[in-house]
Amino acid sequence: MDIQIRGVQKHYGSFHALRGIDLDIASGELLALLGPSGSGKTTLLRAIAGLEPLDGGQVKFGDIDATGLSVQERKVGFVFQQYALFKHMTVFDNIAFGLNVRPKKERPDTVTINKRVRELLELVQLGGLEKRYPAQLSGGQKQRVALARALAIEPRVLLLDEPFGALDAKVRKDLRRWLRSLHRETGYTTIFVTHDQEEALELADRVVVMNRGVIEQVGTTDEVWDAPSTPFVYDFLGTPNVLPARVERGALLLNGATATLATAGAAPEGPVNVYTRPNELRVVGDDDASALTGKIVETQRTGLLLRLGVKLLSSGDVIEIELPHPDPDVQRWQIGDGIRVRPSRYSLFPRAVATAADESGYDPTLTVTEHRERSRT
Amino acid sequence: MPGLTPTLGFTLFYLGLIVLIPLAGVFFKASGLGFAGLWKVITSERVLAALSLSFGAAAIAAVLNAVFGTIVAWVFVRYEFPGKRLFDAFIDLPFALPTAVAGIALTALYSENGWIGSVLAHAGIKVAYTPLGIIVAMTFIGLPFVVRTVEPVLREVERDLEEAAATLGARRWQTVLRVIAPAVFPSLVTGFALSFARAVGEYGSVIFIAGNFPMVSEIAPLLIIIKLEEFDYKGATAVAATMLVLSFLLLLTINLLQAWVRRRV
Amino acid sequence: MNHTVKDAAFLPFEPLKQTNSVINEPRLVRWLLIAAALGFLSLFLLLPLLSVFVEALRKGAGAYFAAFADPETLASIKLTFIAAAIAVPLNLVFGLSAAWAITKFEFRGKQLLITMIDLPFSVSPVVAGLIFVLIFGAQGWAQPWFGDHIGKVLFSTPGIVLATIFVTFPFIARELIPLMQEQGTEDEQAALSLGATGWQTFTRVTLPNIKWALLYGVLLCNARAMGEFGAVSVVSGHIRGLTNTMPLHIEILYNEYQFVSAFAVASLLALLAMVTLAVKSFLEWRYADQLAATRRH
Repeated sequence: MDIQIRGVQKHYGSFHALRGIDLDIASGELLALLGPSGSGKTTLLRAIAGLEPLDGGQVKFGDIDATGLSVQERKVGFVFQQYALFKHMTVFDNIAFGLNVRPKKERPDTVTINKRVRELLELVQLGGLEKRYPAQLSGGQKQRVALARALAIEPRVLLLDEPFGALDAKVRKDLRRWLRSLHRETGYTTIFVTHDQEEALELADRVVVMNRGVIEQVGTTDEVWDAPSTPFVYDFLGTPNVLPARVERGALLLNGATATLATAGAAPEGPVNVYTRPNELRVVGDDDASALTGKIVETQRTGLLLRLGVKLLSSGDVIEIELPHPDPDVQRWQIGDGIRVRPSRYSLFPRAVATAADESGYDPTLTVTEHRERSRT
Repeated sequence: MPGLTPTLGFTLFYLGLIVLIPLAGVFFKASGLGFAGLWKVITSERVLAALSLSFGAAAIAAVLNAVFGTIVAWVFVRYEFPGKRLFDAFIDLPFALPTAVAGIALTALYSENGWIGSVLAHAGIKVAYTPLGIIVAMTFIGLPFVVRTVEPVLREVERDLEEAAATLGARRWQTVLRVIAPAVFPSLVTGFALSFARAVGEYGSVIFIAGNFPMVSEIAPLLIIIKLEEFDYKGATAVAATMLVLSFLLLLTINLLQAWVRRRV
Repeated sequence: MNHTVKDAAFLPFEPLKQTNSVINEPRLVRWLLIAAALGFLSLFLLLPLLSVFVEALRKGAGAYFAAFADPETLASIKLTFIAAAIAVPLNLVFGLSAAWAITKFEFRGKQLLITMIDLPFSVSPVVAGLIFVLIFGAQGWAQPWFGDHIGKVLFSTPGIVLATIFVTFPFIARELIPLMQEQGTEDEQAALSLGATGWQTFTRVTLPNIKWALLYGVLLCNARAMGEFGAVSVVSGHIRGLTNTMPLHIEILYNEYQFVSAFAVASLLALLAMVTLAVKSFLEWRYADQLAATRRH
């Protein structure tokens, strides 16, 4: 079932948790809501489920306007972060709960319920554990019971809140793969919340990047990775270098105009920030006039990658470069070596006027730190 | 870590001197009666009436406290309302207010010209100097037990569980009955047992309001005192020993029941 | 960005009905429950407390204060304070010592010991009095020796003190044990490893950690010690001016239809109860973390 979300608003006191969310989710899609904590992703998920009364906006499941429907009437399968299994019930009773609480005339008979629960147990690969209590299950098993319980009511849509958050790394990987195949098998429209970009990008058909109650970008893994539409997305998916620059008459002047780059399309005139990832910087020779020159202040080899910290001569800022496996025959970079680099890919975002006024003291890393700080809280 | 010998030594000495040896004396004395003698005392009409009154009224009071105590705990954990903190402090009043004070206050309230008693008198209900009064006093002194045992457990029931039940289609009353109640039940049993045990042995708050008519509103602890005043030490001891054993058996049953409930969680 | 509005069929902005939470009860149910709870508490707690003061002041302030001019009343107040002043410190030492032994060491039978300490809670006060009558009464097994060497126990102050100690026996220990169990032994071990003696460790490390719980226990212990009725009633002999504590004196005044005097003395104990509750609430509010987390009365 497809879902349409229009202008959804949510306040907690003075805190504006959702600032007018619009989103369309196709039937059968596997969608990730990605963002730091406090970005509103869980609130949005709960709003879709009907667990958060909205201050405004509309939620539609297919042709049904779900906005006025109660949680019970929405029929969503919701998997809670801590699973929320009923401790005093067996695995069987947990899964059967949604069927058992139906009004008498809609309730399937015992035989049907039995059959359905057993099918679900097989589906989540927990056959034989129906008599266990939640306390007797591992984290991964609890997760599967929670999923089976949500699927038992044949939900319109499956919603998962940080589905792998409480699991250790190994189980998490396995369960991720398994969830992906389960989704393929069952075809439920599925939305899950995560703060882990790797998880979102690996699992989802599309990723919704959220920040401070708004959607920053919606797209496939490739789209959000290759063309981040805002500085926040850039920053959240990696650790970009941020270089202050100016656009004058269509030319991008970097580093106090010592380097000039082509602007990609219609760039805004005036002060901008150039966002470029460490792996998008290329080492160039002396003949490249538009290169940034600097001195190596840090080298760090991790596996097949070499990370260099380069202090730019012009501004004194330190940027990070990531090079592939260094070829011992060509060159070994040492601390103190001079180096010339240029961005092979980058994006421009206009810089706030306030910072532009104080260009000399401008620290490009500040923005990055600021964002990261925010994403941690 | 130093100090095991002196502290444990003093603890056992003091415990033995103040509690164990004196208590053992009851059973020693009771055994002097022999089983037949004991049986004769217990099965006398007046003793039987007093014991069944004490245990019966205590059971009714404990049920009242279980019902209202749960409601009170629920309201204090879940809702906000003016005066909440003040009321919360007053819940422990029966622990802090001397029983004799409670006794005369309740009697003043429920006697025929008291604030509540006069209202009930119009309806033809007489509370003071009847078994009903005993139940009122026992409810008063047992009131905090259920509230204070259920409250923390209720506070720990995760909202997640209730939300999960709602997403699965459960109506509110179904969630309360099927999800919350089973989680709270063991603590409710504990509170009930504590409230009951306290009420069975209660003396001070009850005797003023009871009226103390033999065979009608005479509680077992009062009968012990009456027998003591008649220098019937053996009779008094027999009643006391019976009360101790009955309370112990009841608490044991409830503890076992609770252990059984817990094992399933 | 592809999250633009496509579907014009959507209704315009429509605010929803506000509820606090989707898992709350209907408003009517909420108010009914609150009314039931507060009604129950008012009926069983507030009204009795209020009536104590109303009855005490029924004949005006003059009659109220006149009650305290009675030498027998003053004697009962004095005896009550003496009993509490002996019972509370003794149980305090016991509580500390029992809590130290139980929480800092492992030994067999610990659970049994804890149960034994709780015993006086499950014994009827009247039975608590009875056991001392059986020991020190006219036919008591210890009376011949005590009578010859020490003096009268029953129907005098020592008996009253003993009964008071018995009924308030567990209060302080059970307040301390869960807290000290929670705190473990790390702090003490650190102090010992730094060269502190056992006593220094106790006074400088342990005591500051448990002071609020200790005060709390003393408070409850004292309230019960001053208010005990059943046990004291059995051993006192009700000799006016000599072996009557305040609660016993209240009974006598009440039975003699001196209602104003009875309620006047009762109002003193009610005030004590209110102070106890106030301090207790304050401690719980201010030092919640330093009182035992798992509390059961």
